[in-house]
Amino acid sequence: MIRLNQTILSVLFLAPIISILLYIFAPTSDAWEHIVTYKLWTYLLNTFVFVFFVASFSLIFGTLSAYLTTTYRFFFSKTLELALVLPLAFPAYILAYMYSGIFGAGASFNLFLQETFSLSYTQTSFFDILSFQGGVFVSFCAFYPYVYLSTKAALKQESSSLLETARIQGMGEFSIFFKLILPLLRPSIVIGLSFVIMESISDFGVADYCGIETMVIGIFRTWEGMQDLMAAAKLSALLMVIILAVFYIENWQRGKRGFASSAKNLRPITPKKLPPIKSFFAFLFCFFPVLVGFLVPMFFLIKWFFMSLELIDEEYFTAFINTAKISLISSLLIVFFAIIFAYFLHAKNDAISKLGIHLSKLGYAVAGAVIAMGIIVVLTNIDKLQLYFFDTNFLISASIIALIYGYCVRFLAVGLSNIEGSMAKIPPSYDDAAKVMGYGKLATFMRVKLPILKATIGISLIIVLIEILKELPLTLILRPFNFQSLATMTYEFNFQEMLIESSVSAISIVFLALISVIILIQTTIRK
Amino acid sequence: MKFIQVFVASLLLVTFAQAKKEVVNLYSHRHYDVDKEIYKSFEKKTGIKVNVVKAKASQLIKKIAQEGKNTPADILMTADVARLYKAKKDGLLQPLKSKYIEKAVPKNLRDGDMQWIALTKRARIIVYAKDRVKKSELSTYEDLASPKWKGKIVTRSSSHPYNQSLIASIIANDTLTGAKKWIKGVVANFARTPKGNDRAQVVAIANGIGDLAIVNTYYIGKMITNKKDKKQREAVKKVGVFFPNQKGRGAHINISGAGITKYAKNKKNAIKLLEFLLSKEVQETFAARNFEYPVLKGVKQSKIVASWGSFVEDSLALEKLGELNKEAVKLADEFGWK
Repeated sequence: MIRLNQTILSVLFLAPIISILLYIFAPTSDAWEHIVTYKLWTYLLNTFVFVFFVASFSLIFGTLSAYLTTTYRFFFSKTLELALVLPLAFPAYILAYMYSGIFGAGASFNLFLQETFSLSYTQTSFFDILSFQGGVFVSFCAFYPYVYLSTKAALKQESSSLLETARIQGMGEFSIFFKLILPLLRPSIVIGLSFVIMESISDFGVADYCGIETMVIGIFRTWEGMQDLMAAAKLSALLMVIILAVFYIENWQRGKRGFASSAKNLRPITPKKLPPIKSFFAFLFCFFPVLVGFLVPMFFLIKWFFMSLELIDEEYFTAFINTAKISLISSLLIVFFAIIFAYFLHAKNDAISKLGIHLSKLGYAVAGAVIAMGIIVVLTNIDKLQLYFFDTNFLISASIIALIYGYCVRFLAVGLSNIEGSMAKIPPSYDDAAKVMGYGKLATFMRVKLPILKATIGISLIIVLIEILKELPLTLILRPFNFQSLATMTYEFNFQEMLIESSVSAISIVFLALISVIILIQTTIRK
Repeated sequence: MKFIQVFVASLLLVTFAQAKKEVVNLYSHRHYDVDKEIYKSFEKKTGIKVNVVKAKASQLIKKIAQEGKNTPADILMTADVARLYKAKKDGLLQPLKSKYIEKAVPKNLRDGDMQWIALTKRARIIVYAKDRVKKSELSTYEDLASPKWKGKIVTRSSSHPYNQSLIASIIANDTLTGAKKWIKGVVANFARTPKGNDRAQVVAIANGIGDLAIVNTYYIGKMITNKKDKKQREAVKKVGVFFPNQKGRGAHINISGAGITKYAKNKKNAIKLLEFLLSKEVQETFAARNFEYPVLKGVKQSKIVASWGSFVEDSLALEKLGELNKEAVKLADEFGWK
């Protein structure tokens, strides 16, 4: 019975993804051969290097800042602990636009350098947002909070005695971090890091704006420029296969090490006070991401917002309400489905279930517009069937259901990864105990596991909500007639190259996301 | 279960209620503010409601193809000609029958079978840094490949349709071999790797990154009238507008245009809307507000656009641009125009 339900639900979630994945077997076209000859390696290499840098910086700042704010007390450590999450409110593409006013030709920072040191623009061109390093910079700003959050949440569950023992054993502070904390928290850090990786692989806006030729850029160039959707889908499928392989390698690596959960001690880590100089450096280190990821862009966004107040009209309010409504409904649904999938995994943790989970994550790792095409393929076929039996003129594919379904497929992974990760940490002894008490599988899940997972579920809900608030490409193509969201409104101004005007809707996305981030802070860090 | 039934029933009711009203459904790649106002005045005038989904043209084309006979779209509207050509090639459009439109749109600006038509025109031109380049030094697109411009040219990526169409027009006019030589020369003259949007190119030459930029005309108008962004206003003051190839075939133009879908359910209304968009009144609005060139003859241009003077347009049949779009991308790849 479980297997049957699992199959039905999996088909619903995986069909759009598999419909694209199958293109790996599509026949080659001349466009495909052209790409292989001239561009494929460029696309792959650029993607790899780009993701490598974004992930590395996110890893360094994300983990270390989480560790510092948990184990030490220094200047503003309490404030920074919370503020480090804030950049999550910014979509990466908006960050890129904000920074174009600071770093670039004719932008303030470069003009300052040029005037102060009498340089030409070319000599200051390293500091240009329209560049590889610029793209890495804004992506790091936007994505490091995923690593910070997952590390932070895991650290909260570690016991104070762990650090004390290590210190008594004579381990230095650095080796405690590198040799003890990092390996211990690896599963949690990997979840956060995998978000960073998938976000930077699938991001079109930043790569396009900064001129970085990643796979996503190649996919759209093939689709739109060479007008060969088949070759574009084949490229997407290739990317999916690579990501799938990475999932398996990571899993296998982790499996070899066998992570047992540390004993749950009720005494959380108490922060140790740092001497002034160290305290200052710790402050600098943790303040940097907040400054560049939140304060600076926020300053510009607010300035631009007040220049564009006349744009607050009826359409804006409708978009605001649309966005709030659809994000809330979709995120609740996604978390609901994520719990069901977690249950399937609990009931039958075998290779097929694992494959299903990995496949579902691909929805998050591939460009939103590509997934949207998979959604359209599935829904238009359902419509054909539906119209054959019922003589209505209602099209699912042209209704709001298409958009909600699209979000579910795209962001299930976000909800599921967290919940799955937390579930894996529950010691098997709990299952055994429940069995002894005569609980069945469902009862064990409902009465034993769900209560433990409550916090994680809350966190997942909010992260998914923030993701949907910020989502653009999928919304653009799957929305019904006349449906405007804050993200699509922002896009319309950007399409017209009107960045200042786009600030009204952009700041509203950030505002809604901030509310969610604050709730997130309350649930993860404060508790 | 009850809940789902009620939900579906109410959804159906909503759809039926909407079905009774006169509508026209639009899939559009035009995201300009002025369009919204134009649709509103159409609704006021005719009582026909304009429903719009705006997204990228290639995605909308795929959507229409996938929807097949059930497509709700009556009109596909794009911001360049190549995507219209593609939609026709995929068999998604139908011939448009309207005496008025046939008369209003010149032959080179519409499909031979009337499956798509132009609504507005835009020219892709050269802007130059006034303090470093004399207008007399400029002549043709072909000249941009000459070594005298080494390290002087900026433009956006060749992933963008506007540059793809420009390359396609070079292929059409100078043959494939000529175009290869041209791209090679232009790429060698780039002041930086292509990135940023059209306005960013103007800002770049104003700040000395290069001397020449290839951009669309209407962005210049929009930069001049930009009340909010001083950087853009300052930048655009430093550049001059030049229409290339005036002694020969004329400057390269592209269009934004539309076609009626093969399975349009509201064909009459669709034709009404397109006729309205080609009316004198609306063409004037496009020109005045969006700095585009009107398709209809005898329509007043915006003052700013008019100040650049009239120019000779390349009269190449636009479908040629669609036909050669793929080839253009391939050449760009081959010679490293990012």
